[in-house]
Amino acid sequence: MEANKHKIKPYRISKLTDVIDEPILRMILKGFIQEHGVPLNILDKRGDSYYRINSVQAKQNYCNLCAYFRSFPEGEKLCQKCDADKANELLELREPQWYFCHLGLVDFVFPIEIEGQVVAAFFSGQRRLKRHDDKVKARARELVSQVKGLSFRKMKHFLREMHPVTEEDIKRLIGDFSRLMNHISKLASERYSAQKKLQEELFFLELLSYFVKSYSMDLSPLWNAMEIASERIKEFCGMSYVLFFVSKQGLHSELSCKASNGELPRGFTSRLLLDFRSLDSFDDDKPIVLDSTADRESIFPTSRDMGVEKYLKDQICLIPIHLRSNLNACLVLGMTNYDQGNILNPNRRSFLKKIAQLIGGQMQSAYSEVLEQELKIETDANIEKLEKANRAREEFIAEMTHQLKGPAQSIRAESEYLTMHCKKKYQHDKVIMDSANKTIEEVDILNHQMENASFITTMDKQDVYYRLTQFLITPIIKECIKRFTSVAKRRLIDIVAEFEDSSLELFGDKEKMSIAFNNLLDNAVKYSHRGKKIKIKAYQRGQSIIVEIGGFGLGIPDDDIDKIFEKYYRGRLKDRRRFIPGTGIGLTVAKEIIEAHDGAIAVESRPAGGEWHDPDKLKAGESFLTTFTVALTIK
Amino acid sequence: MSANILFVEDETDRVRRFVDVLTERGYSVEIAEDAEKAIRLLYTSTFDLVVLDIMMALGEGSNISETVAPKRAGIEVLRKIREGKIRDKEIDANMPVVVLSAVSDRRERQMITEELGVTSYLDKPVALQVFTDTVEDALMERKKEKAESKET
Repeated sequence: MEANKHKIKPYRISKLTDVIDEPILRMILKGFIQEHGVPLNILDKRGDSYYRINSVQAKQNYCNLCAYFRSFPEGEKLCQKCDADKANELLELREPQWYFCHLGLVDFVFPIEIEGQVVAAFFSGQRRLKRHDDKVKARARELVSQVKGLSFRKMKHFLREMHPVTEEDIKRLIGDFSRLMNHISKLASERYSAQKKLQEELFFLELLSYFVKSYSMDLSPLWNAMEIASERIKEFCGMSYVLFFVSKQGLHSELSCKASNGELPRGFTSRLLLDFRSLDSFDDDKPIVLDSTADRESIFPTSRDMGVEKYLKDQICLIPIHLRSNLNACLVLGMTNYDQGNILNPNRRSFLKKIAQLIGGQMQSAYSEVLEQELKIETDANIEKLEKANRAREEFIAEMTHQLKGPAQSIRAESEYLTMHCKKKYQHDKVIMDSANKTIEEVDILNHQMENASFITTMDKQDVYYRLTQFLITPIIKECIKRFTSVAKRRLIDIVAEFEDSSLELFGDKEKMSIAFNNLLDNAVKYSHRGKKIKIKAYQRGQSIIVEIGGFGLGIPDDDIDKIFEKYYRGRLKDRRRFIPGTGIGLTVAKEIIEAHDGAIAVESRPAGGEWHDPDKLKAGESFLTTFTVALTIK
Repeated sequence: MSANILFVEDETDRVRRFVDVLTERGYSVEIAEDAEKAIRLLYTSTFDLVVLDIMMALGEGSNISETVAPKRAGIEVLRKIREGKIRDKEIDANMPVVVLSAVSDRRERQMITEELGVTSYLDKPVALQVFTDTVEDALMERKKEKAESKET
């Protein structure tokens, strides 16, 4: 990346013509001279000397004495020197004043000040103060020997011609001139502010141009940009060197890049550490100036053993750069042979802060792009891991279910055979009968879980096989109820069924429908409060068979209602008084089966006190009545 | 009634009760633990019904085609039956076959049921009573079919 070769000058103003163009100045002066008929000179700074902006017009209004004296080259030189010396004095005095020029005439001088700096001096006057006449004559006699061809007689003559003024006159004249000076000062200041602003804007644009937007993961383009930018900051702000630190772990940071400066020793930049911990309490508005050696050593811990003591005498100013509200980077500006108070100037302070913000902003967007990329890669990797884990889990479940079928089959067959056998020989032996029946019941429950697991894994792959026959709904439901006899009894739950018609028929998969109803009833029983009723209703409405399963219990909160059919969703009841077991797949399976039969399932959960007027319901608010309604199309 | 039933199943211990209930009903049951043995038995004896598990191995000394899916040799037995011929012996191609299987793959199941044709497909684990009823229904059906075709 090439450094911008177009140098943008900083906003320092050294002379008046920096802010007001010469032609414009001349115009103002010409106007004033014509109006007031006075001589007027401006001395503008040029480095260490002054030069005149105007000459020709001024001379038109010179008094005869001055005109005569200044017609001699040596005379002109002397007058100019007198003016220049006075202008230099003004750097300290800064006040309009009148004085006796070297000839002894009264002159006025007005400083033009911009931003606390005197940039030009306006001279007018050439007035005769009568009480000073003797001095003038004495001086004129002196000058005769110095200035070749000068006539004392003529000098005396011109002096007497001059209309004398009083001290009041002088004061009044100063007042008049002051108004002009204020006007010019004001104009100059405005122009100056505008220019300064422009220069600063240009500088920021230039800084911006160093930051290239395409960052790779290692951020080195950013640091390259900072290296070049630091160079420019150094020049623009008039610093001896600018260092740039980026914190890697928020503690110490090695120098990431530097602005070159022939004065810095070779080892300085590569081994200097900045201790960020002590910078934590940065006041955002104040760059920190390190005045004492102790301060510097705490911030630059390695500086002591590096032989850089002499640099510690520099005025060092730290500009913190915040990224994502953490202190992550820092500009260190150093001034060797500093100008006392230079760095702390409020204008400069705010300007430096603005630079820090610009850099911070650039780094922020660079970092966030990089972070986004890193995050995306991490997220993608995580997503892949998750999906892999999910697939592994489902495969495991599928395989495990498969493995369980063999033993389940065997246990079931043995139990059934046992019951058959017992009926013949041991029908009076309660223990054997009970045990045998119990075993079958439990195998059934086991089977039920396995069927759900098996279904859920094949469901996603669209692998479910439906064996379609015409069958009656009522016996299926009755069998379901029978399966839950033990559990219901255990919890004093009464399952009541109402079949409008015992010939409700459906065309579909009998076994799968059984699983669906099983799951719904299982749910109802699990979430029912102790001692409550569960009511099942089945009837025909038009071309549909409606089955309602309702119970009193914990209920389903409004925000959960949409989620209960989601795979693995187990609810988020905040006030669970007991742990409710479950895999979260029962309702998912039921819904899938019902919908595969061209049916629909809906759920409603509201505070009890609804239509059923159940006599043993508790006060409203203590139980929720949750009803699942299934609608199946009769084919 | 009396009938000969071929029970093709590799996990013989697990299905002993299925065999028992059939025996108690007066059927004679022979067991084959792999596809090869099943086909050999089909050759040497005559059966009225086959109870078939899909998941099993081919078996030793088999001259059945090698393009059988891994551990799905039961399909081969079914195929052979439906061909109606084992080596030089003719057999009843429409012999009732009750599949008793743990295979849940829909495509496989569809292929077996529709292409090859089974009388009944029971998923393990199945209730003993359901099994018995299915077998008896199947035997009854086949008997009726045979009687009807004899008449015509």
